[in-house]
Amino acid sequence: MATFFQQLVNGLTLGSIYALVALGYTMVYGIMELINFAHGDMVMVGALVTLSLTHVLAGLGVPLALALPLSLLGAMAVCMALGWLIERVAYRPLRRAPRLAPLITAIGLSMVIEQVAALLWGRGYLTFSLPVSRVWNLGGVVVTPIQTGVLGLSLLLMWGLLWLVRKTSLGRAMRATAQNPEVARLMGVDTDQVISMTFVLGSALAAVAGLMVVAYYGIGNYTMGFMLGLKAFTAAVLGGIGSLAGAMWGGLLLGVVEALGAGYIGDVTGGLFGSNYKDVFAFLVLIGVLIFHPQGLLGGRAGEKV
Amino acid sequence: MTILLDIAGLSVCYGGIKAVAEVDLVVHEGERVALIGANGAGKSSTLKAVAGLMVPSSGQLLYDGTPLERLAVWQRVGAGLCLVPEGRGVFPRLSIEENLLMGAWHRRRDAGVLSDMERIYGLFERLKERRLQPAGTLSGGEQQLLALGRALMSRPRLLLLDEPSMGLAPLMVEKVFDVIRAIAGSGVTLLLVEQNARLALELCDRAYVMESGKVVLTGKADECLRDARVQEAYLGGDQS
Ligand SMILES: Nc1ncnc2c1ncn2[C@@H]1O[C@H](COP(=O)(O)OP(=O)(O)OP(=O)(O)O)[C@@H](O)[C@H]1O
Ligand SMILES: [Mg+2]
Repeated sequence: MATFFQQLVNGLTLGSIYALVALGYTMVYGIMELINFAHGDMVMVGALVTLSLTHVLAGLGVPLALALPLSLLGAMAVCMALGWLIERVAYRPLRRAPRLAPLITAIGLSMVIEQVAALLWGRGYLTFSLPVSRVWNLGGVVVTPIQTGVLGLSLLLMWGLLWLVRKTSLGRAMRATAQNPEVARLMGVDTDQVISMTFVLGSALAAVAGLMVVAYYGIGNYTMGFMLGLKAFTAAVLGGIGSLAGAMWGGLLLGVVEALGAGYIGDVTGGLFGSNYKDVFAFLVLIGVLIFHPQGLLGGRAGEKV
Repeated sequence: MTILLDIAGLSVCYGGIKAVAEVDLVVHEGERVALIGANGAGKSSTLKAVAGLMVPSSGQLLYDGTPLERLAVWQRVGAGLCLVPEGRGVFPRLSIEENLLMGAWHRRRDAGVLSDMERIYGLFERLKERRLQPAGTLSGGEQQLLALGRALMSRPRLLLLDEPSMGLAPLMVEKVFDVIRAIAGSGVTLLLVEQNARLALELCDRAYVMESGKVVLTGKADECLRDARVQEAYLGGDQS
């Protein structure tokens, strides 16, 4: 039973990171029916910028408690600018092009971002260790401060995003644009600007997710956005792409499935497969959803689109 | 009377097909102008060009003396030009209240928005009762009233209405037209596209009749009502 709860905690932590990234996919899809496959790489950029800035600031003697939030703000600014630029330069000219064009552009962009990152940060693994050795032991279940930080911050950001989309005038314009862009323009909404803002918001969340990933795993690399992006995309599809609540539940659920799968696969298969097969679960989930329930858990009618 | 909207030699094309061909049309400040014609005559395309949803292939559009091409679609509402599109175009998953607020988007920081909303709720009791429900749950007629209310929230100077009676039961049509009459009475200039020619001609001061993209007749609305060709083609022929 301890394994179960331990993996549940691990899964929720991981899942809340997936959820943050999945929100970026689902917001962009909700508003312009585009799958921005370069979004995963935004997490990588956020992670590596945070990592470098923290090292630089630490080198200058800035205490970690200050260096970390400053680095995160810096990474968010970089990602927001990059997200804005990508929409402006790569996607906006393709607004009226056939669906395949922006999709191929997204894949190309993803490669460009990775290669530029490889030039800037090299191809090796960069380490990132936070000096937190304390752990809480709750009846055999180990919880680290990083895990609670990740979960807490994710929940706070998700709540903030829901509030923004549901209660603010920008959120109202986002939902109006998603439902009928032409009429939104007739009502005076600069829909291009709303779309820009959507990219910027998603990119900011990706930057935070980037910090969480390096803090949780302790390493970063220019390819780290690929698998994470695929999993977050899976989470978005699982929840019903276009639905905000769906992305959140999809992310958490996927994290838990993956962690439980990794925790038990050894026992179930008599040691044939180890926890290194955990990535398989995400894709089994993706295939299963696409075959049996393609609209996702909260997709279609019920889901609240952006 | 000053000219508020001046359309000169307007043509609109879809691919190679010319939907509007060299149309001249003028709307004076404070006037109510009807644009009538059969299905596919090019009425909606004309309005879309004025609102900016279609780019004219030729011609000149002047609004209050300035060329409209300088304004993006979303900037035209701020200038006082508001289109209620064919099929009403309410946001189905926004609440009624949020739909009304969308109409006031360009003046969202204006303190007058809330009092305008109360005024509109005064006109449409039904909308107030259901203000927190999604607009998609309203009946077609109620959605049309909401679309009109939403347009009013923008404080328009020139209101373009595209077939407000479309698909509505006779009783509802009457109600919608009462509202349109009240809007016109409050000093808003009106360009009204309708298939229901009799209703439109009875409400308006002047009219244009379109056929296959061209204006074939124009004049005072009551004269059009008595015109033999109009009666033949749009009023069922037998009433005179
Ligand atoms: N999106 C489009 N693509 C191609 N052709 C179009 C399009 N929209 C309209 N048309 C054509 O342009 C012509 C004029 O259409 P328009 O919608 O302006 O007519 P209308 O007078 O508003 O008709 P209705 O009374 O049916 O609304 C028609 O022949 C129509 O088939
Ligand atoms: Mg029409």
